[in-house]
Amino acid sequence: MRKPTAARFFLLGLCVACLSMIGQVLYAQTPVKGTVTDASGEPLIGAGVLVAGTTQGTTTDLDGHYEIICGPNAVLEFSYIGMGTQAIPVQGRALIDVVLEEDTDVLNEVVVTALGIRRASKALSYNVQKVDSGHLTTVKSTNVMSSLAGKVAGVNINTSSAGVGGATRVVMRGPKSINQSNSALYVIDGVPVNNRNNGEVSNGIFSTQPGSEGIADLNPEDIESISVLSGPAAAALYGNSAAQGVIMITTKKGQAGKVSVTIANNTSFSSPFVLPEFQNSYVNSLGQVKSWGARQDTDYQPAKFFQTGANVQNSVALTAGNEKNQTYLSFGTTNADGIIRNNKYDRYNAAFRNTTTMLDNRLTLDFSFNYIREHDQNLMAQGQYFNPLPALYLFPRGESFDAIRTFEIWDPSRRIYAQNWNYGNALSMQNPFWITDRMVRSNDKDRYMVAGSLKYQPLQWLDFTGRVRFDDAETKSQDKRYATTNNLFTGGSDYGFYGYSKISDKNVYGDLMANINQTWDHWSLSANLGTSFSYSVYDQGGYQGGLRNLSNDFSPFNIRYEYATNDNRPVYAYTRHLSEAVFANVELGWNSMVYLTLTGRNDWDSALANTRSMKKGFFYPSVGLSAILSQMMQLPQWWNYLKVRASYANVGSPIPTQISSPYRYTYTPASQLYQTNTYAFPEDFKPEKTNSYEVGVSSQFFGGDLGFEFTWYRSNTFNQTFLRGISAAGANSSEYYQAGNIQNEGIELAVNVNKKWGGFGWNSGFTYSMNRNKIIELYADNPEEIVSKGGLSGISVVLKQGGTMGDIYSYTDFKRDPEGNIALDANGNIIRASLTNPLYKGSVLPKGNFGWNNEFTFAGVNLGFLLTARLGGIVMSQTQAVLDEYGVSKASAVARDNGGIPVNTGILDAEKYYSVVGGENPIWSEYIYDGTNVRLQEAHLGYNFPSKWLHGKQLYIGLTANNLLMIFNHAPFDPESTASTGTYFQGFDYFMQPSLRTFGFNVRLKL
Amino acid sequence: MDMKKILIFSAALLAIASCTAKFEEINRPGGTISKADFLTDGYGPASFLVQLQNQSFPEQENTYQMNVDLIGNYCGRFMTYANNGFSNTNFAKMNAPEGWVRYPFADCTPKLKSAYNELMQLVEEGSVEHALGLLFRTPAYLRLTDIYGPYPMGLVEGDDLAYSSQEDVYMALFADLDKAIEILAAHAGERVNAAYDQVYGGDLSQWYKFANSLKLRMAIRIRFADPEKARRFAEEAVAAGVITDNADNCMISYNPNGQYKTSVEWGDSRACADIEAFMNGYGDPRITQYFEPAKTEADRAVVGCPAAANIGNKAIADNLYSAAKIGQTDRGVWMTAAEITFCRAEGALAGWNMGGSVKDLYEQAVRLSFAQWGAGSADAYLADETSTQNDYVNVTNGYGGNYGKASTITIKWDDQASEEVKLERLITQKWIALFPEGEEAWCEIRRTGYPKVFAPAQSNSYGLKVPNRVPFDPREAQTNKANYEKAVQLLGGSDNYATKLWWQR
Repeated sequence: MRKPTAARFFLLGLCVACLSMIGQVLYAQTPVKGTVTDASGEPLIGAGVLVAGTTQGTTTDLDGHYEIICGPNAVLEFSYIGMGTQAIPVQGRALIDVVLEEDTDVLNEVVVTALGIRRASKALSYNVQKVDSGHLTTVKSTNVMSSLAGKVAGVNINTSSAGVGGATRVVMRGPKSINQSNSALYVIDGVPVNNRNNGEVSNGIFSTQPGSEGIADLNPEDIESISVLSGPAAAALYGNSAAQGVIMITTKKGQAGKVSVTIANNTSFSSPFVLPEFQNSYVNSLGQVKSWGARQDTDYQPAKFFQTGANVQNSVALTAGNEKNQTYLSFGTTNADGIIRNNKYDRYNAAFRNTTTMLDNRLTLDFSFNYIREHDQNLMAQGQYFNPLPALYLFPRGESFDAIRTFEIWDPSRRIYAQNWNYGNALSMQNPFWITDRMVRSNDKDRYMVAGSLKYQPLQWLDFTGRVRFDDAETKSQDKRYATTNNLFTGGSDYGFYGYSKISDKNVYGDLMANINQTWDHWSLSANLGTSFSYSVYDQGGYQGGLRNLSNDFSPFNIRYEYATNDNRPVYAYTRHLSEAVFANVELGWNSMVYLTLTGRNDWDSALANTRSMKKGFFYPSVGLSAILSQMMQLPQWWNYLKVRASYANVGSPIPTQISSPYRYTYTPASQLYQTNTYAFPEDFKPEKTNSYEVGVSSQFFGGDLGFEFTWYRSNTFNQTFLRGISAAGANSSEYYQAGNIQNEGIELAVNVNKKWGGFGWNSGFTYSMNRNKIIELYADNPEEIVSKGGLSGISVVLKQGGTMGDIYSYTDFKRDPEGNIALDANGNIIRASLTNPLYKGSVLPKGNFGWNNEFTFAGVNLGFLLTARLGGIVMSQTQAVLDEYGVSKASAVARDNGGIPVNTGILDAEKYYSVVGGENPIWSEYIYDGTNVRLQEAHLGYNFPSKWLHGKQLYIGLTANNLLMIFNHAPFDPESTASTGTYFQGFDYFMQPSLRTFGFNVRLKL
Repeated sequence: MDMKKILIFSAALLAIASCTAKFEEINRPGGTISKADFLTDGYGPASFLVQLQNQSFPEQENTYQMNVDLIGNYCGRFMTYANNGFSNTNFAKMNAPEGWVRYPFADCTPKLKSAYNELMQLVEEGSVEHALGLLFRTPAYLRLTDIYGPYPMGLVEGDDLAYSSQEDVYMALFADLDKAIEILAAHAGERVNAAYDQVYGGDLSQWYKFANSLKLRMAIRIRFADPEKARRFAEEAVAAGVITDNADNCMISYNPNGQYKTSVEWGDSRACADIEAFMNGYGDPRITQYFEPAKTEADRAVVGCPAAANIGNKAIADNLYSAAKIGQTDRGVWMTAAEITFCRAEGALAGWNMGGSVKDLYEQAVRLSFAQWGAGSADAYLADETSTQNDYVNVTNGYGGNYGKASTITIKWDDQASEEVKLERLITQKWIALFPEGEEAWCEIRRTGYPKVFAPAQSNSYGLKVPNRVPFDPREAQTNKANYEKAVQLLGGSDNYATKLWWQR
C-alpha cells in the first residue's frame, strides 16, 4: 500500500465515526404470531415485522404468517413496500393479525438511491423522481427512454430522428461539459451500465448515419421503476458521469407466492408527424432539376413515399417463488418497421432473475442473466448521405416520380440490375428507392449481461454486499451498397461496396460494500463503505471498401484492399478504460426529523495515465441536510408534510480516455503511413470538477391528495478539457485546453394531484423545468476568444464568454448598404455577404419545459393524456432553404403567384431571390424559427376487465397514441426531434427524418 | 465485529482500489504509434517527407478537389463544374462557401508545418532529408500564397501564426530552394528514400533539376513585380540546369489520380469552353489526349462548358460536355519540360540569358508538349499562321449560352510582332501546354492577362472575369485576429476576390 492521502484519512475517519456510534442490541422474551394481509384479504408475503426501537425483525412467509419473539410491552412495526407502515403495541397478546393499507404517505416512501442503496425519501437531501413501470409501458416506443419525456422535471429528453431503434438524448439540468458527454449515466439495479450511445452526429451534412444505444436494449416490461437523480449530489457516489445525473433502473424480481404469468402486447402504427410544406403548381424546365419552370398543376406528394410504420411488442413474464427463493423469467419481442422503407428494428429479450435467501435470511444471493438479440437496419437521421429525403423532396415536379419507382433496370450486358436515376447527384441525390433498398446498413448484436450480488448480514445492523456484473455485447456491423450506387459511396468501384466489422464491447464492474444501519433513542445511522472498479474494452475489427470485380458479392474476399484509399481500408479501433474507487456514505438522522448525509469518493482512472494526477486520483465530497419541518412544528390540519433540503456536491471526472497517451500519431489509410496529427497537447492534464448546490422543498397537502416538489440548483463545471479550435496558420489546427466555468442554474418543479371521488379517480402530474446555461469563463487567457462547435454551412454553435452552450451565430447575411438597406448587384439581385464578425441569432437551449400528465379512472376505465411544451430556443431548417432554392416549397410557389418577393421598394424574381437566400449556403436569418412548441404527446384509453368475470385473472385492453396533435409550432419540422444525441448539433434540420405520430393498442393479461 | 476488523476491511478496500500500475498501457489506443516508433527503420523521415509531398502534389481526392480543382482548374479555365450543386456558390462566381474558401489554408498549413517540424527533429541540418523537406514544402506554400496572397509561413520570429507579405514569402521560398539546391548539388547521382518517393524514385539529380525549375517558375511569376531579382533567379536556375526533357517531368504516382476522381469518377468537372474553343480553333491534336469526346453527339467531339454556367442537371451536363481523359492509375502532372521551356522563352523575351532565342524556345516548348502527350509532329501546328480560337457555340439544351471568340491570336511565331502580341502568343501556347496544371494556368491569366477568356456565364458582384485571389479563412478574423488584420494590411486592399496579389502589380 502506498502512503495514505488526505482522501484515505477522510474515509478511515468515517469508518471510525460509524463504529463509535453503534449501540447495543436489545433482547426479547415471548413469541407473538399472526397473519399480515392487504385490504382485500390477500396474504402479504415478505412483509417486514420489526420490534420497534430494535433491529430485531422477521418477514412473513408464503401465507403471510409471521412469528417473532418480543417483550410484552413492545411495539411491533409492520411494513410492506407500497403499504403504509403500522405500529401495533403487543400489550401481552400472543396473536396479532394485521391489515396493511396502501400507502399514500410520503413519510415512509422508500426510494432507490445511488449504488442501489434504499433510503427513506424523507432523509434525502436532493431530488429523486420516481416513475413507475405503468408510465413506461402504456405507450411504448422501441427505446424505453423516450417514454420518460415530460414525466420528470429537470430532464430534457429528445428522441433521435433516426427512426425505429434510434437513440435518445437525455440531458439533466443543462449541458455542463464542453467536450465530454452530457448524457445521463444509466444504472441498472445499482450497477452502472455501458450505454454506448451511437446516436451522435458530428458532421451534419456529410455525416454517416447514427446508430442505436445500449439502453435501448432493455425490455420495458422488465422494469419495475425508474428513479431519476437529476443532480450531482444525488449521484456523487457514482463519480465520473454523475455530474450529468443518473437514471436508476430497478428491474423486476420474482415474487413469493403463487405463480403468476403476465402476457402483454403493444402494437402501434406510425406516420410522419410534421412535414415541410410543398408546392404543386410549378414544374421544372427542360434540362433543369430545379422546379422553376412553367405554371402547371402536379399531383406529386412526397408524403406518399412514407409507409405506415409498425411496432409490435410482445412479452411474457413469469414470477414464482417462496419465502426462500424467488424467480423471475421473461421473454420479450419487439419487431418494428419505420416509416421509411427498410428501416427495421427487431429485438428479442430474455431475462432471468433469481433471489435466494439462506442461513436464516442472513445470506441473500441475487443472480440475473439477460440475453438480448438485436437487429437494426438503415437508421437514418438526417444529412445527404444514405438519406432518400433530399431526392424525394426535391424531385423535379414536372417529371414522373412513378417512373423511378422502378428503381433498378436490368442491364443485359452486365447481367445486373442498374440504378434508374437521371437527375444528377447534387446533394448526393440518388433514386430514393435505391437508397432505401440497395444501400443496406445493418447491425446484429448479441448481448449478455450477467449480474450477481451476494449480501451477507452477520448482524441485524451490519451487512456486506458484493456485486459483480459482466456485460458483453458482440455486434456484427455490415454495410452493403450495390453496384451502380453512386461511386462517391463505393470507394470508386463500379461493382458495389462492402463494409464489415465486428465490435466487441465488454465491461465488467464489481463492488464491495459494508453497510451499517442502526437506530437508537433519537438517532439513526446509516453508513456505507465500499470500493468498486469498472473495466471496459472496446474492440472493433473489420474491413471496408469498394468491391474488386464481382458485382454485389458482399464478402471480405471481394474488397479492393490492394487499392488503399480512405474508403478502402481496414476498420480498427481498440480502447480500454479502467477506473477504481473507494467511497463512503454516512447518513445521520435525529428523531426522524433531521438528516445529515456526507459522502466521499476517490477515483483512480486510467484516462489520467501519463498525467501528474494518475497516482493520487481525485477526491470529491458531498454534504446534504434534510429537515422534516412538519414533524418539528405544528402545521395546519390540511398541511400534512413539509420537508426542506439542501446539498452541496463536488464531483470529479477524468479527462476523456486516451488523449493523454503519448501514442498520438495516427494512421492515414490513403497514404498507408502513420503521420502527424495536428492537435497540440498541454504539458499536463487535470481532472475536471463540477460544484453543485441544490435546495428544495417537498410538501403534501390534503392527506396526500396534493403534492409539491421544488428544487433550485446551481452547478459550475471547471477545468474542462476541450479542443480549442486555434488558427490553422500554425502547425496545429486545434489544441487540447483545460479551462472554463460553465454554470447551469435552474429550477425543477413537480406538482401531483391524486384524488378519488368514490369510483372516480384523477391522478395528475405537472412538471416544469427551467435551466439557464451560462459560460462564465471560457479561456482565462483570452476572454474574447470563441469556440466553434459546428453546425451547417454558414451557421454554427459558438461558445463565448458570457454566452451559452447553445448560442447560434450566423456567418451570412444580406449584403447591405451603409444605411442598412439590402444592397442589390448590377443585375438587381440581392447579394449574400460572408461575415467575418458572425451575428448572434439566439440559443438552441429551451428556456423552459412543461409536462402535464393526467390519468382518470372510473369503474375500470382509464383515460390518460400527456401534454408537453417547450418554451423558447431557436431551431434552424436548411431543408426549407434547399426546398426554396429548388422551387419545390410552398413558399416558392406563393412567391411566384405574387409575382416575386418584395425587397426594399421593388419586387425581385423569386428564383433569383431564392438562389441567393436559400440553398446550401443560405442567408440564415430567413431560416431560423422559434423552437417553442406545445403538443399532445401521449394519450391512452383503456379498460380493466373486472377480475370476477375472468376467475381472478386480470385483463387490460387499451388504445394508445403518441404525438397525437401538434398544438403550436412555427418550425417546418418537429423541434423536439434531434438528429444528434450528442451535446451539439441540436436544433439543426438538414433533411431530418420526420418524427413519428403513432397510434396503437395494448393488451395485458395476468394469469 | 470490532474496530480492528473494520480497519482491516478498509485497508483491504484501499489496496484493491489503488493499483494504477497498468494505467499507461490500458490508456493506449490501438492503431497509433508514439514518437519513439518513428526512429525504427528510418520510418520517421520517410513518412514525414511523403506527408509533405502529398501536400505539394495533392492527388488525394478531397485535397485535390478542394485545393486544386475547384480553384485553379476552374479559374484557370481548363475545367468547369458540371455539378448543379455547385452552380450557385463557387469560385467562378466569387461567392464560394466558407468551407471552400478556408479549406486549402486550414487543411494544408498544419499538415505542412507539423510534418516539417517533426522531420527536422529527426534529421540533421544540411542533410539530404533537410533539402528534400525544404523542397517538398515549397510547391505547397507557393500554391497557398498564390491563392491567398500574404501567408503565415512561419517567417516572423516568435509568432508562427503571423502572416508575411507575399513578397517576403517568395523571397523565403527562393532562399529555401537555394539551400536545397546547394545540398542536392553535393549529392548528385544518389538515391534516397527510393521506396517512398512516388515522384522520382529518390533520384536526387532529378530533384535537383526540379528545384531549379521551380525557381525558374517562381522567377517568371515575379517578373513584373521585381524584374531585377526575377532575372537573377531565372538566370541562376537555367545555368544550374532545369528540366529540359519529358523524362524529368514531375509526375506523382498516386492511385487514384485526383483528376480521375473529380472529373471521370465523380463527374463533378467538365472541359471549360475557353480551352475547348482555343484547341478546336487551332485544330490542336492534343485535344483528344486532354479530353474525352462528349457522350452526347454534337458538331464537335470535344465540347467545353462555359465557366460559371448555371448547370441545371448534372446528369445531363455530364453527357453534354467532355470529361478529362485520364485514368485511375495515371500519374498526376505537376511540372513539365514544356512549361519550363516556355518559362525560358519568356525570359528570353525579357532579354535574359536563357540559353536560346525566344522563337527556338517557344517552338521547342510546343514540341516538348506534343511529345509529352503523344500528339505526333508539331511542325504543321507551329507553321499555322491563320487559325484562331473558335467562337464558342453551345450544344443543344446546353448550359451557359454562346460566346464570340475572345482572342484572335495565331500560333506561328513572329519575331516582328509587337512585344505584347509576342507575349500573348507565348502565354496562350504555354497555357494550353500547362494542362492539367490549372493553378499555373490561373496564375498566367492573372499575371499576364493571357489567354483572353470569356466572361463568366453567371455574373459576379466584382465584374471580374477571373478572381485575383481567394479571401482569407474568415475564422482567422477571430482565432488569429491581430495577425489577420496585419495580413489585410499586407495585402494592400480589401480581403475579397478582387484585390490583386503582389506579383500582379
